[in-house]
Amino acid sequence: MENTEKHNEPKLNIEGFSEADLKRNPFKTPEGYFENLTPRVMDSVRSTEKKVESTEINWWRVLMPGIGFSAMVFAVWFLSAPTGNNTLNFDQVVASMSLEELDQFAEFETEDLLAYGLVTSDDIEIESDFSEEELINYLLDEEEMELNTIYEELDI
Amino acid sequence: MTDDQDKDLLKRFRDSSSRNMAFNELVNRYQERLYWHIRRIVIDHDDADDVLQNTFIKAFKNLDKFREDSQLFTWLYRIATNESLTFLKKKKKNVFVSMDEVSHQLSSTLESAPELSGDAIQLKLQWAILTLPTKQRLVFNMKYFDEMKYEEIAQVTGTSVGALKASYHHAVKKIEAYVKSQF
Repeated sequence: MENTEKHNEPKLNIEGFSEADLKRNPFKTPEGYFENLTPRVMDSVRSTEKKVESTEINWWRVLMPGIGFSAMVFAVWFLSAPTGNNTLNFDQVVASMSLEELDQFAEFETEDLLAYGLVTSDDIEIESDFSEEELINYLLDEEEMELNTIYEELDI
Repeated sequence: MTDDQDKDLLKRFRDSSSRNMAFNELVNRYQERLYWHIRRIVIDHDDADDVLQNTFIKAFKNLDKFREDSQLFTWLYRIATNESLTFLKKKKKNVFVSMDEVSHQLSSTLESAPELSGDAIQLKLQWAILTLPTKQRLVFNMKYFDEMKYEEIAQVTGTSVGALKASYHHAVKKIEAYVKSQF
């Protein structure tokens, strides 16, 4: 089969030049390029892995720059929080904030507040038009959809 | 590389204790072939180097998901091809512009040697190949220079064997006609 395929393939014919001539590589590489390539590639791969690890949110780094009030919030919390208690006291923090700071705070979506650790879920009352049973059924459906997606990806 | 060697490498890659060593071996084995495949597409060495790095990074991230329904090499080739084409699209560069290196070498060589040497004809051939549409150029390179089977090229490009044969046939005729017109 392979011999038949080769026999039927068109051959590139340029008068006066052999196949060896035509296939000779005209491109050059810098000296030692391939000898140094593997370590360079492995370095690139490792640095990509490190970048993935470092994308985990560092709450301090997220909050401090550019949002002036967040530094104030944590400073007040640190000074007023009871000894040995690491829980953010929402009411105390809010009470200590200026009107401007509260305006900025209010612009945050609920999920941002939770994600940045500014509040805990106990501090937030969620208003819902759905009954508890409806919510549970919705969540179960979502979970099933997610599992189906995972199964597809794993080809199970 | 045999299927058994591929399987062994994949097994070692999937073990976290030998992962990096296995990948190091993979890079060592395939770097040159992939480099030249990419280089023939993007022409410039620095660009080829960038694309090759990206190819291996992508391969590292996705090797766990490799289903082994094709050979490891054709899978890598496919990534390299996609990365090269993506690179060309991003650069939004007419490929003739990136022929600066080739055209420069060609004109220098022709000036210094009135009779065409082997090097000059190779450059002229590269120029002719660059006149082909990108995907046809890919097919020609893989068939002619890499001597891949049509079935392997089909796995890389997702095109049928019949279409590839027609494309290659057409490419050969076009190149011959172009080179002949330049003499």
